[in-house]
Amino acid sequence: MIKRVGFLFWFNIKSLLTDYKKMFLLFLLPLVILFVVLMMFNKDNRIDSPTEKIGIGIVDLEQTNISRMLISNITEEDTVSNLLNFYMLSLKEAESTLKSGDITAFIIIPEDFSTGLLNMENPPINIVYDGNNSIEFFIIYKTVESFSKYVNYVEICTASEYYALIDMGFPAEDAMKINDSVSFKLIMDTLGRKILFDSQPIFQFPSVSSMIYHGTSIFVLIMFYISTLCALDIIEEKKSRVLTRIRLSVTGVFSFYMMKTLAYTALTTIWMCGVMVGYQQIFKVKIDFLLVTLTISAISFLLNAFYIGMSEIIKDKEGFLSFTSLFIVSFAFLGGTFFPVSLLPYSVSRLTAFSPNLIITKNIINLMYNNINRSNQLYMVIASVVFGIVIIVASTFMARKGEFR
Amino acid sequence: MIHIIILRIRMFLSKKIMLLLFVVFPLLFSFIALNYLKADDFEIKTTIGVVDSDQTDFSENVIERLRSDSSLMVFAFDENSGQEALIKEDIIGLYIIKEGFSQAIKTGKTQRIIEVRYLADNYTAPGITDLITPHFLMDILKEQTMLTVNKAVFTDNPELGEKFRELFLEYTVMYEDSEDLELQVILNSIDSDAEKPIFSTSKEIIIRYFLSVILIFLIITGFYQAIQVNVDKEHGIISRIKLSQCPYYQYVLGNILGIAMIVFIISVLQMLLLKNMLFYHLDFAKVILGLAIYALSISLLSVAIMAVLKKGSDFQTAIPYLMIAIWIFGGWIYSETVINTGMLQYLGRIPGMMIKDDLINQFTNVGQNIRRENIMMEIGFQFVLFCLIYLKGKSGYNKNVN
Repeated sequence: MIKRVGFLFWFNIKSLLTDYKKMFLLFLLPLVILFVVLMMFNKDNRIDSPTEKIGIGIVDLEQTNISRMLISNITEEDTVSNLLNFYMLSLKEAESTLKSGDITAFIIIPEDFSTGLLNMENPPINIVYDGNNSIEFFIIYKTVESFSKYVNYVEICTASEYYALIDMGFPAEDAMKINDSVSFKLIMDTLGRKILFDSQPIFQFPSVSSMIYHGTSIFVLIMFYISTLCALDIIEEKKSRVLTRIRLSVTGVFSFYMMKTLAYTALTTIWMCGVMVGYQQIFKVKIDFLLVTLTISAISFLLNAFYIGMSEIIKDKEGFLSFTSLFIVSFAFLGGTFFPVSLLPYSVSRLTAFSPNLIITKNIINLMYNNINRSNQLYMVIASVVFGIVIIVASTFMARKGEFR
Repeated sequence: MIHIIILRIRMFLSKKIMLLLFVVFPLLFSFIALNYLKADDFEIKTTIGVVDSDQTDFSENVIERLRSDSSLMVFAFDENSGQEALIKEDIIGLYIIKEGFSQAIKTGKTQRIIEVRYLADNYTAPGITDLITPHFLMDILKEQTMLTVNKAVFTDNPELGEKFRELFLEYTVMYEDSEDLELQVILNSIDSDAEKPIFSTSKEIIIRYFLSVILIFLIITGFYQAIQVNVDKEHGIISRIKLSQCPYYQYVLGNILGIAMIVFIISVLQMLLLKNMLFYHLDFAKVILGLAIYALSISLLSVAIMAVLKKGSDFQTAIPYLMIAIWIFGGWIYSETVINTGMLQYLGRIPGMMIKDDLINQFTNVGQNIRRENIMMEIGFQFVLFCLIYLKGKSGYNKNVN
């Protein structure tokens, strides 16, 4: 019995290893992609902030010293200039640059802007965009909106101060003098508002919009796909009556399913651990490989068992392929592989917490950064294996029922 | 050729699971998503946590002001639970109002009075500080004004100083409620007939993401229909087609148009739902034109990949890579934020991807056209793909006929 089971395991491993096309597509190509992508991002040391700076045009129709000073104060400010690239343009240039896609939007400072501000008439600021790059535009819009709020608040205070003094019987000339010094002080306070904050960025906890999250998430996605191939093998083998022959021998369907699952699990684990070695070098993390191996094995085992169970429900090959593709792509969207879940509306982002893609990716990343409780992780490993075995047992019953029928 | 098109459609309709996954599921998804998007107050709210270590009326006032901002979702925490929520990414930033906050503002010493914590590699986090600063700044500016005026005018007369304070605060309340001093930011979309944008900027992001998902689903539909072409060979259908003396170009065109037709019909059903539930402004003639070109491009792309890979199982194995490549280099939402625009210019010429932006813009803007240069580019790529498919399979087809 043990000999037969051992034979089944090695047979599955060998047939996988000798399928060069599958090996290349599933195991080698992702590593090549990882290498190229990381080289690309490592080049300019962009791993921690992979996003491009947002291009924004400024059209200054006023062209006075005050407008120039205002613009330079905004453009030279730290947080803004780290995020945005500013281009001073004429209106025509701005339109053509926007159409060519070199900038995301442009802001028009109206002709009477500074005199309007001084008279508290506030001529509106125009932002022009082309409807593309909506995330970048959202950031620009929110930044400009914040600046408009600063202007609004400074004006509220200066106007209130002026009229309070007038109400108290101060001559307009004196009130205006005091108003000038107050305005200057408030503008300076607004420009220097960053001193209010004591920034404490937290390292060691990668976010869902980080490069490492998207990279790991793509590999988890490929793990999902590899697992579907395990079930596909079984569907094909059922077609060629392998299952009947297995049942006729003493090995049994359970052992057959189990060995198939273990073979795929073993290869996926080796491959994912290889990826982790690469990550260790690039992201300078210290990985506990024993725990990582156990976790990846358990996850892969559970995924393989899940798809075997699904193949017992959807027996038709094309139907199974369509289902798994849609299942995986849906969870890729929901799990933040292609879009950061933090940008989704709050209620939807709560739902994504149930996406297997997100759960697995976060777990693997937490493992890489040692942000886990060791015993809890071991419980999770054991639970995954037990649950996987239960699914395989259920699949065995379903397969037997099908065969008798 | 017509009978090949009918064959493709009949094969698609004969499989209940295909209908369920590629027609019913996307329609259901759209229905649920549209009901969600229809809400007038829909906005992406930035979730932040606040820890009030100052525990004064002053700090409570600031937190109330933060809560009244419709673009923010504010949760109150103690320091530990706040840190936990931040690590779990339930919130994007944690703002700790330090002890002595109100006193510091009243004395004009406003350095480092709020601690900001955020995950270092969350690129949206530092920008959020700009979003919330105005709420803190309002009180600071008020206190600074009173301090400056008192110092300059009322040093010897605290009673008058107090009177000024009362009057000043009354005025600020009045101006805060009025719109007179607001600096308006007007949005204009280039090439749009609308006087103002149809949707708010945050709603637009989600709409674009939702439309991207729908269009990507259509690509997957095309891929699976192309795999079905390969099933013809396995099931011996192709032999019967050859027996009917169907010329090769008709077989190829029939397959391409058949798949395009399936994708097109599904997409039109989707669009009807979208127009009736949320996008009432849609110009259906433009959308139909865009969808027809998109469907044809997807069909050609799918059949071309099938012709290159030859085996259905290889195509299936390649699908995850194709989806990743299409997402990254197709210039979809977020990928355009991460990938260098220069790179997209050269690599992002995947058939279907040039027309898709114009198609999505139909939903978010009024009066935008499907650009002629994009139509011409798509047609050019379609022609190249057709030539590739034709040349790739001709000898095999003729050999089997003989």
